[in-house]
Amino acid sequence: MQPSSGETLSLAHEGLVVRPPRRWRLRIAVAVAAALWLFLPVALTNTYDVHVVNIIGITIILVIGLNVVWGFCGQISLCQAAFFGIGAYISAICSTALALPVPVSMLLGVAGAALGGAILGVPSLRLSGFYLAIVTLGFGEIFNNLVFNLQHITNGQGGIIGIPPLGVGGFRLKGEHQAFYAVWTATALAIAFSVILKRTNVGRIFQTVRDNEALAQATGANVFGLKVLAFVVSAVHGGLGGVIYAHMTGFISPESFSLPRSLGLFTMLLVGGIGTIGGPILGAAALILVEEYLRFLQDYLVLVYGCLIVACSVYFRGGLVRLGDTRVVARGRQWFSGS
Amino acid sequence: MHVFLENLVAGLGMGGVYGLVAVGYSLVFCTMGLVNFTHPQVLLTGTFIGIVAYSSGWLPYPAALVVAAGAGALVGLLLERVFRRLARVDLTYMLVATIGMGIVLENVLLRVFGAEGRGISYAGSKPVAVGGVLVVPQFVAIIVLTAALAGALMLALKRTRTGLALRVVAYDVEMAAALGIPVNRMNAISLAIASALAAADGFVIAPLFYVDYVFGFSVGIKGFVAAVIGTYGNIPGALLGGLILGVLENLSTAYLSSAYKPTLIFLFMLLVLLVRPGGLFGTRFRKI
Repeated sequence: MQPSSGETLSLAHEGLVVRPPRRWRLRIAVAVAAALWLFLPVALTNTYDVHVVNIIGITIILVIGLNVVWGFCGQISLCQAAFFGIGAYISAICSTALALPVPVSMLLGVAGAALGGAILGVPSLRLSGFYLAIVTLGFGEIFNNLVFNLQHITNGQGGIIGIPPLGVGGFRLKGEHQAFYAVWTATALAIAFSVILKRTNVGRIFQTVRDNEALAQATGANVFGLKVLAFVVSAVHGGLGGVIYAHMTGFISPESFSLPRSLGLFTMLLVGGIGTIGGPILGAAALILVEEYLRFLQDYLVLVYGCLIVACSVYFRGGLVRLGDTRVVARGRQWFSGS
Repeated sequence: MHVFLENLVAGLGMGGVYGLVAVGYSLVFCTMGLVNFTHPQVLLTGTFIGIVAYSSGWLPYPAALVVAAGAGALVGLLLERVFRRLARVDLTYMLVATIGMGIVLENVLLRVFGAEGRGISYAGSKPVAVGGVLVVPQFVAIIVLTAALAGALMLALKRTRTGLALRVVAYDVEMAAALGIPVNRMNAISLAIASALAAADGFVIAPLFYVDYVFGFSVGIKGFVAAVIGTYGNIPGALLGGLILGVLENLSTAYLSSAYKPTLIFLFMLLVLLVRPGGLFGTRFRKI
């Protein structure tokens, strides 16, 4: 049997669901988000809590990027952490060893990640589905191997320290509380980008490529170009998360960008709900909160995490955004409404 | 020339190991349609159990090998229960579920065996000079064992009724069910065979390496690359892919550098896939 591609993503009904106008829901959500953006750093006095919130913001950007290439366009990508790393490393090296200004380094970092995405998109001309997934896995492994071994550039396992904080010239966002505003502005932009992308023509053709590639080709779409574009968009998200992460924490090391991180990111996507807008946000937030605040489980934490992953993928497919559709919740709702 | 021969023997030995791991991946894919990323952890489980059995001093090396393979087969049977609902579904869910199961298994191992790696000493791992060429006897044993196991597997698939049933399931699962072949049991058998092969593989190279948690992953991922090179789902292809990979890896270490080994391996795989998008043996061999 030849490996079949991920064509049956079982998301075909997405977008066909007729719902009442959501204008008000959207407005309320934006208002609540704006209020949180303004007051959350003030309310959270503990720096570590703010750090966790910032990491959630960065991770949401990464998972949204993965969602564009995997959820919307249907191309499996197992190297989102590599783009995260390319952005972080280029920006860190430019701003420390080359002493470039921080905004320039950040731009170069994102551009480098985009270039990586374009390179990775090229094999999609000949490969698809399973084999393309393996190539992306290899891309991530090669990146990690190079970062470990090109010690005169990346300082190998020791990582890079003393990366200057976010900011321009004399204006710096020092500490987690100030970085919060930059991180979550970027996160909001990424979410808005996805919302808009899903409504534009390009986003719709992405979804056609995912659900029926032959159909997309028949309508005259440049399928190869679209796949490369999807990889580039995903890589730009990864790079953006990377440059912010590097300048926020001031320290990077290769472990943060290895295969387990890539796997963690797509676990978040799946647990949240692949191909949706809310999925990446819910998935990233839920899994990071579980990891950070269930530390009392200590040694058993990763075990619980693994069981959660198996349960979510074998028994509970739609993800957190579809929680309302599951049989248990539906029964509960029936029971409460007395019907 | 001596360097070349020494590395050729070592490469064929390692290649045999990668090949049998790759056969495990491909066999499970043929029958269950499952891309099994739990395989590296299964290999590690069997290896650990074999090492414990051997270092207790009660069992000779070959008996411990059988224990390791048996433990692997048991884990395989358990996994089939978990993965039953995943057979032939979307690749995305398979990847996540099997990776998640790998995480679970690895953490169970951490609880049971502790975080320390283990090593065993065995006479076969000392190099012997044969006409000026240093040969590790264990590698020769591995080559013989690989040939024997692979031959036995091919023969069983071709000549026994169970093998025939497995091939029917691989060929057309609905037809198999219609003929009254117990598909789930066949899946369990293939997963058990694959897991036993992986466990035995891990244990035969245990004397040559320090067995820790990275060991399982590194052997497992190379076996996976071997299966991809030799066309995923093609059993003779997987074996040949493993041999190619093993020889390539050892020769590149000898003549180039060992630091960039993963990069070279994945670049080679990329090259193979770009030239032949379905793997090297996409059309030349029959699947089982």
